[in-house]
Amino acid sequence: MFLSAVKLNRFETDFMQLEPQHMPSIVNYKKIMEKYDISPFHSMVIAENIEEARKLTNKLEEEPMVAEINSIAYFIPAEEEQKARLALIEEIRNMPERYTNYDYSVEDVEAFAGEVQRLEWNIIEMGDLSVAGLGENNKIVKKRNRMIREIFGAETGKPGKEVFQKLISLVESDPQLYAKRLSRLDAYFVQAMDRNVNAMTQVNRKITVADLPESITKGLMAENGERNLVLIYPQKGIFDDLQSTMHFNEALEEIAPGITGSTQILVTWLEEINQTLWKAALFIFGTVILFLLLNFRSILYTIFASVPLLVGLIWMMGVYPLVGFKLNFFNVLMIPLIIGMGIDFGIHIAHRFRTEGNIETTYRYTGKAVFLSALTTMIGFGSLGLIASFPSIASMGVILFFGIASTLLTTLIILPALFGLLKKPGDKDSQGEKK
Amino acid sequence: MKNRLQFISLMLFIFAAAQLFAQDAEAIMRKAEEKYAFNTSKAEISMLVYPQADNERNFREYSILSYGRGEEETYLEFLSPRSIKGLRILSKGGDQWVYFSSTGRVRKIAGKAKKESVRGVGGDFSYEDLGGEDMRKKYDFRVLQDRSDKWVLEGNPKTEDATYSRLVVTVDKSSYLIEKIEYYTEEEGHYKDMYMGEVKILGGREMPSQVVMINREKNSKTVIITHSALYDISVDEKYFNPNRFYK
Repeated sequence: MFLSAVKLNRFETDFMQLEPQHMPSIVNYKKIMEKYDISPFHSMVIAENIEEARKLTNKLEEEPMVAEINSIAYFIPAEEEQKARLALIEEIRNMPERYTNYDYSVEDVEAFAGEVQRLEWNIIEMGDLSVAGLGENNKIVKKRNRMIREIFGAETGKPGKEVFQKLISLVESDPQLYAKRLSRLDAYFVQAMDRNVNAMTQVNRKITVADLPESITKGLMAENGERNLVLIYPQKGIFDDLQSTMHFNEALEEIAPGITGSTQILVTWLEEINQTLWKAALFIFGTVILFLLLNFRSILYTIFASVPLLVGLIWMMGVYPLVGFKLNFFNVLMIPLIIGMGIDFGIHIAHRFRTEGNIETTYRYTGKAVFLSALTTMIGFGSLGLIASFPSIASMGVILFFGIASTLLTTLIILPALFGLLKKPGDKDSQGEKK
Repeated sequence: MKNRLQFISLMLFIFAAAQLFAQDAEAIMRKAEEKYAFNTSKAEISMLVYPQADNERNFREYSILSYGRGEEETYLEFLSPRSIKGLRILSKGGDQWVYFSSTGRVRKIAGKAKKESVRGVGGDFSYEDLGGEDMRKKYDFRVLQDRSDKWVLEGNPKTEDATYSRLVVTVDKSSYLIEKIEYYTEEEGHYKDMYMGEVKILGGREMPSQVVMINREKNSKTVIITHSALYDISVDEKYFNPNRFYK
């Protein structure tokens, strides 16, 4: 059962989950992720020129796991695009008459009054909603009340400035006059607008990096003005599981082989830890077995001494995901330590049994010592798991606790059963290999 | 052989006991929620919103007449403050309509997020907190503590649309009334606490007449006091009809 549960183990790739969750920086980090759907841990790639940056940016934009890109390509449009825009700007600049004066009719004045009424209703309703949400003396309703008469639901109170109603009454009092005045206002507005458009259409050359403010170029452009940096921010769920992180890296690697950044470093670390860990574990285990063989000069007793550790490790790795824990960069490094510490129980018991040849005596004396020493070690590591505010440190305590506990259990449960195999039917006390 | 039988019996006992506890929690919640279950309701309530939970002097008060039908239909009519008297809000499923008595217009408001405050007027209560939907539909419950007079139950989400990552519900053993709910979210941790007290006979039922919600993140507090309530009565269809609720 535990062996099949081993494959349920998951690796925590989100470093932030290993930090104390109440820390203000972590709370803010989570808020940013939640609000902007973005992870602040970016990747980056160097583009040799702006065209290369544009190609990379276009490809990266198609990648669904990319939340945002910061690239100089966004500020310098492509050659063709610039040409097309300049042509359009020139067309607007050279228009003989961009705007014509509009003559308001009496019907237009009525429509205008209707729009002013709608505006007043909208402002009244905004005020009502603000009272429902913020109370009676909020700034929105105060501002509203300065423009309208007193309003209490369906009832009205004292008259106020009533800017909207006054304007409506005014334009409706003499629609023809106000049609002319609106036409004049429009003519002034058109002239002012035309001056602004004219100023904006004076552009007659392409935008270059030199036109960009330093605040943009400083972080993205190299000093020679050609090489530039493209920054890529992943979607917020990228660190949820190892598969997503790996998939994100592979997708980016395909687009830009020289890419580096937080996720790339994370995966490299993981690969390094994975290789080193198993190498270290195998080396430690091999060395321990060799020493046991030299010491016991018996394959059988070497097996006896090492079985509790082997089975204990399987139990530990099986229980760990079942109780909802995840492996991480810190607690996996404890596995070689568990091998080194956990083998002791089997060695002590196997040695004593070889001398005594009696399971009961072995466990009465050495078993008790092993039990007590394991218990004190478990209390030590368990306390670390319970009181450490850093989840990373606590996880080290937890895995050590589980490792020692499962090795102790297998020493107490499996090992006597193995010793029992040496007993012949009818034997009261097996002498085992006692010489 | 005897040892093996003992071991199997022990395992079976542990398994059965675990099942029994799980069933208990569900049964407790079912009974507790039955206390608040109704098809229709009419209530006159006061809502007191305290922007700072520890400042009892600074609060705003609203008097509201409410009608409810099923789990997803609610009609609210503001009786005070005077400035918004007659403002009516109809919530049906994910949609909301607001009638402004000041302009005589009805506006449909965009869909709601279950965790959000009820269009700003719910204070610290969200749609899910106020909605009549059973918690058991979205959360799996287990007994956390079995005290002499109370049960403390823990609810964990079983559906993806559950707003909270964890609920801790305290239920009174003698009355099966919920006394407190602690709300936890992934982002905020221990997010809100709801206290239900001042038990009275309302509409022929023993019900808490005062519900206090404390938002631990914003340090704000909202109190809902039920002055009168009627349950499972005949309610005019118009209150839940978007074309007629304001007439």
